[in-house]
Amino acid sequence: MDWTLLLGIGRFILATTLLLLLTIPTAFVVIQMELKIIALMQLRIGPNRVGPGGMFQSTIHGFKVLAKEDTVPDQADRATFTMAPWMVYMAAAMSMLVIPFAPGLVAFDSKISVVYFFAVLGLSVVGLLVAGWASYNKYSLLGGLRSAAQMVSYEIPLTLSVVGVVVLTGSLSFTEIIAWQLHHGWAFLPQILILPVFFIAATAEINRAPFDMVEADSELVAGPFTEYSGMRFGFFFFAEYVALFIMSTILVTLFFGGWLAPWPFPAQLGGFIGTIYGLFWFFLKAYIFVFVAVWMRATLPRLRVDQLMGMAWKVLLPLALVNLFVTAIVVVVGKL
Amino acid sequence: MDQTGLLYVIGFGFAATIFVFGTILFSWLITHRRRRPQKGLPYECGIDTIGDTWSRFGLAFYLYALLFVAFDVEIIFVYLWAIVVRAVSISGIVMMGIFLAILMFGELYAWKKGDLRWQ
Repeated sequence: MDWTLLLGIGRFILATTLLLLLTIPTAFVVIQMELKIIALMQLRIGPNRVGPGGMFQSTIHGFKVLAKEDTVPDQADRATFTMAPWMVYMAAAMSMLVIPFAPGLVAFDSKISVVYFFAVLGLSVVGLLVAGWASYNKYSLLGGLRSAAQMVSYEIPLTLSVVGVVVLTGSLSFTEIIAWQLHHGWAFLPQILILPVFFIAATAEINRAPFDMVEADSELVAGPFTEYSGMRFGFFFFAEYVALFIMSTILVTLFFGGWLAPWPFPAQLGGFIGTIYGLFWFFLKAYIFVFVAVWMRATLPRLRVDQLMGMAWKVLLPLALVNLFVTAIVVVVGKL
Repeated sequence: MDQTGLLYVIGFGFAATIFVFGTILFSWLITHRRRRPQKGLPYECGIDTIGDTWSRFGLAFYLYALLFVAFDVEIIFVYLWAIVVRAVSISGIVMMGIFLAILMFGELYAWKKGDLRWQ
């Protein structure tokens, strides 16, 4: 028997299991952060019954959703109604495949992981559109169409703002981008102008407040999720919070050095200690940005739809293009 | 050629699919089901929906989709250009500038016509 083949299969099974299992606690932790932090920001106590300090509130919510009745509206299109949560969850989960968590700890170290990542994450718009259409509800349909228009518009500035980093590092691979940042310092300093553009576009892309037009509770009940219940709704919920975490990890990877510590450290070069150290910094930095997203939700009111759509095309896109050319010219003229 | 990456993507997609539908099936097995006619109605503040839901909708969505297609294809070119920008140097930047200027002209036209305004 070929040992390398067996090792390869073993590595694949391990990576797949770990990544799929990682989505569950990630969603629970992010939801718990949201419940507790927003409560504290609004001078409430928040959940405090389940577990010490209400720690397991979101976990209990998760299991409650698992045991809920799963209804399908009579007039809904049953096949697509079931497919939609799968599509949205797949888009979030599949994009985790290329995220480098620590030195050597990446499931699929592709040479074009940046393109792969944005291509796969962009697929979730199909799921939302299908969900809106399939549930035969006017709120859902409007929410689905809004989500399509919004996510499609913000995907352009989002992907264009990354090009600056690609020009700087000369690579489309996340691991090589981190390796570049190890030697040249974190990429957010040379790209400081584009960081707000990326942050705003990323927030809009994953439908977070203040851009949560898709499920604007006061206008559209719950957008495309209105008719969903039980575990099918659960997967939408999962995907949404996992996407928030994934966006934070990508922001960290591209602009804040991924698993690099803020100061030089010999263990960054690998080994078991290096992996643990890298994981620590990676998750710390990622959860700082998750915290910022929660903070924004507690602070900012929701935008109007027309304001939102105008900003993507009229402000963010020209800014991203200007940054792209400035970076390219500086790189070429300065021979960086 | 190394196909490991492709196998990873396909295999992971397969595993995630099993995970999603397995969980939905498990939840279907352990939940109670009590079907009443009201449960099948679309949610709308207690009143039946007026008119067909799958009817016509505003054209604004469609315009954004068109603009998106133009720019999304452009982004793939920009990514490829971004890797080799050191090799193609100034002339490459000028050419990309011309390419993007043509695209931006299209966007400015849509802007001038008021298509970027949400109605």
